[in-house]
Amino acid sequence: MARPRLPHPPLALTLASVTSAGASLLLLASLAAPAAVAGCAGGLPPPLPAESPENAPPRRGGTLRMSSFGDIRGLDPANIADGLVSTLHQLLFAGLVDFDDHGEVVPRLAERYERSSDGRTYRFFLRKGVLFHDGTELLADDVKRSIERALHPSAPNPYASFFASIRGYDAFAAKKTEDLEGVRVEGTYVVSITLVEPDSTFLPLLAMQILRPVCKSGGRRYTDTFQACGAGPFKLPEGGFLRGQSVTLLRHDGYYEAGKPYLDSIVFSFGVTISAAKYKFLNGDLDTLRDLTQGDVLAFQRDPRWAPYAAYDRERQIMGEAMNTELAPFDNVEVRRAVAAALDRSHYEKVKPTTLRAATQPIPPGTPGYDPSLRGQEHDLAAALEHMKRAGYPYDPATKTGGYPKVIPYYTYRQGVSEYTAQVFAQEVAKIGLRIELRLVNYPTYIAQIGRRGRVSVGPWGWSEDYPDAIDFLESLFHTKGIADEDASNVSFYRSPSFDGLVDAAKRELEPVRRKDLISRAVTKLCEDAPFAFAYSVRFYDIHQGYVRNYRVHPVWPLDVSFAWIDRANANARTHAVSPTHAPLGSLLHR
Amino acid sequence: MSPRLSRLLKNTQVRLGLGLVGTLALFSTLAPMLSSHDAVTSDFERGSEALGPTGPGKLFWFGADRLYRDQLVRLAEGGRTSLWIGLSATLLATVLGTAVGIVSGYYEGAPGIRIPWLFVVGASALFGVTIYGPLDLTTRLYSHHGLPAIAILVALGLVSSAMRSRSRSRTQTTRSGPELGLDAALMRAVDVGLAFPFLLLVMALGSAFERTSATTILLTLGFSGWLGIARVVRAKTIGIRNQEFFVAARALGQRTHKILWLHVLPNVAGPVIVLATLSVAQMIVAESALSYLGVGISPPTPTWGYMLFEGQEVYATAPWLLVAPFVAILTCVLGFNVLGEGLREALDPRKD
Repeated sequence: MARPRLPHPPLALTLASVTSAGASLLLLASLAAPAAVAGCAGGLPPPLPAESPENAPPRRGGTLRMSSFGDIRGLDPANIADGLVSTLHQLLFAGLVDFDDHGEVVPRLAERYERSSDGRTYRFFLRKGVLFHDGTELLADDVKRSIERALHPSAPNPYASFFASIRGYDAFAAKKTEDLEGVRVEGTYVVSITLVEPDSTFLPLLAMQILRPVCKSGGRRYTDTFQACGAGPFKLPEGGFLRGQSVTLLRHDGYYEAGKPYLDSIVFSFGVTISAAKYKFLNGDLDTLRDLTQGDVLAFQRDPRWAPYAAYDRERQIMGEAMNTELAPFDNVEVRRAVAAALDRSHYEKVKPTTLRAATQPIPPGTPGYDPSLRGQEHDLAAALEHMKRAGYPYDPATKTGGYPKVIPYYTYRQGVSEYTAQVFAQEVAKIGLRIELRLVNYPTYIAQIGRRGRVSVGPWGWSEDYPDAIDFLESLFHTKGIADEDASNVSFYRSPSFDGLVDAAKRELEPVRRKDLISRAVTKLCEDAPFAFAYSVRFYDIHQGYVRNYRVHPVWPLDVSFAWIDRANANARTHAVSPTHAPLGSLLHR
Repeated sequence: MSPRLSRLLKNTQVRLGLGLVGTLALFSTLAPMLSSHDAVTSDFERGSEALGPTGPGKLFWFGADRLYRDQLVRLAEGGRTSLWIGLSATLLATVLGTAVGIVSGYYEGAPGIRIPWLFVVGASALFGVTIYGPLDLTTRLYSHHGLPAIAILVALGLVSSAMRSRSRSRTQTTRSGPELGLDAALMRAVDVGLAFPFLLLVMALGSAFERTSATTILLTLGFSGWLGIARVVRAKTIGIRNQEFFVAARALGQRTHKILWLHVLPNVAGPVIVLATLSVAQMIVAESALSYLGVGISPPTPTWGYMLFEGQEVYATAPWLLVAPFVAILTCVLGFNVLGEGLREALDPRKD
């Protein structure tokens, strides 16, 4: 399940701080103060330009170097445990269907597909001659084997239940059958998938990376020794995955699209700190940059020379204040409505203006199903005070009297911006007579606490999309089936049969207009019942060097470099454009 | 004015230290009066520029922080918190450390009680099981706030003492056991305390209370900061014990508490004052470190350590957020350290 993914703090820093906290503090302060002064003194070097004109045909060759401060645990699509891995999966594994540049589901390894008139059966006609990385041809058997491998209970696949609509899934998941009944091989190149009922989320889910075909070496069942092998544009050579360090991928020369991909190889390094990545990027030792501090983003945004090479991703994550509908005072819908109306979301934006965008509804903008015409939960202090009055807790802002009589504990964690947005929340709801006391716990504790029934009355929560569709957000966060005594995904413990009915109907509905209407009604109902006060969505800023061509911000896949190419004749001369003031510390020491 | 006090005030380090600390105290008290803002309310309209907090200027003398609050007021409030915690925790640690040190030093070498071997072996076994035993057994031992483990220890004690009283005239083995004097008990407790990871203790307390306030930090620092003082005072007390005025007081039959109060305490006061002054600086750094690491006082209460943490992420665009708490911590710690050094010099008995 996709909880908001958060960066892990660098271990080295944590240990150093713990072992000699006081000394580290003074050291940090003494190092940081001059750095702070230096940091604002200089500008950025110019981007390293492309050599060919804009319309030049792609050129083969070169290595693209990327990095992240995060890490991955494995490369098996049947065990997606890290947010970062989707970038690599997109390079290694190709699917029957995929998302195009507009976010629409289109055939990829399948030449075409058809849906039966009852909307339950999808029939995929595979391209002929598609080769896996090991040189064998992709056949319908491989598709069925890969699907069963990923959905069998022996695979630690956190997303398996998303495919529960495939006929026979329950028996298969319960190990009653060894064969997933709904997936049938109808010919060497034809495979069909039958669902128990029409499911509008099935195709977007299939376009994700979970069920993508893997080589025959992957076997019929999941093993943790699988050397990633698929039919994507790049392949993993022996020893290409150095745990905790890097993944090196080589071009798959048997890729089904003739002439593609263009790069010889891609190197993705892990555990590179944000500042190190920036310096490497500016020095020409990295070709793309995604992990940026707010200051870095501002610096790049202020420099017009970088504008053509930088862009925001589509927002994939929504965050809000989750109010537990089973605990006082949020068991009172009027209090929840008051909170939803009290929040001035523009104040949340100001916590990190380069990343956060005010949100008034549960679907991030750009996600299929997002309805820009809905006003959602709007900031209206007078209305909020009126709701408090109706709740039985009238508050007079002039005299600061009244309101809810008890102090409300607000649980949060110290990662990302949560502890800052928590303080904004406390200030906003103080205006309607709710007194908040912050309780900072570590992230794993927080996860355990907020998913436990009757534990947390209010705290920050959100959702990162598993697949690009409104249903993912609505069903995961607010459907009654997300309620559990432990590890609930519906952390507001919100129950509404009418809301559940709208979501279920939208999920079954294949006709786009009717589906959109059902989703909009569900969102409206949610905004009124306010189990969440929706606060902000999150977006990321991507930058690449000028010589990286055909690098695009994909609506679904972060850092999609499948068909990028390097437009530089002499990659070794990359450091010439960097002034000494921007060189990394190491090279300065060498001098 | 006594010659010692006048010597104290003539000492340059004492003056400099007092000047630095006094300036900070004055700043912490008066600065909030100079601003129309308070320390915890954001000024979203006036505190922000295009894409970040506003810098130092007419409205915000020290700039706005990343939640658009007045950095000047937060710095002053942080100073109050730091000084309050530093001074109170030091007072607590000093009183506790001095008391333990004097008592321990006074009873050094005095006969103690014998702990029966049965109890020693039993308690060691319990300790061994706790550390190396299977997890389910340990969990059972420490369920219900450790009641089963406590019950075992109490039972061991009772059985041991019963065996000892019955066998008083019989065998030597049941009577014998290691001797434990008051001094040894206190000093071994100090050893254990000094060996215990301090941050772990604070984190454990933090998670036990769920919310750490100034009081919990103060108590934690106070109750863990007395150990060093106790050792020094004990050594000093042992030295005093051999001096003639002390021997005379005992020979005249003066009662123990009077001896400690009238003869020992005044003679250990000098080093204690110096230690305490230096300890204030350590306490302030410790509190800042805890806040910086996220186990200190919960936001939005301003503390210098937390302000440093807040500032580090935006140092490139808002360097004032890092510089201000850094200078404050440095000045404060320097002030108390210089003052402590000055006091040590001025109170040196060799200069009398």
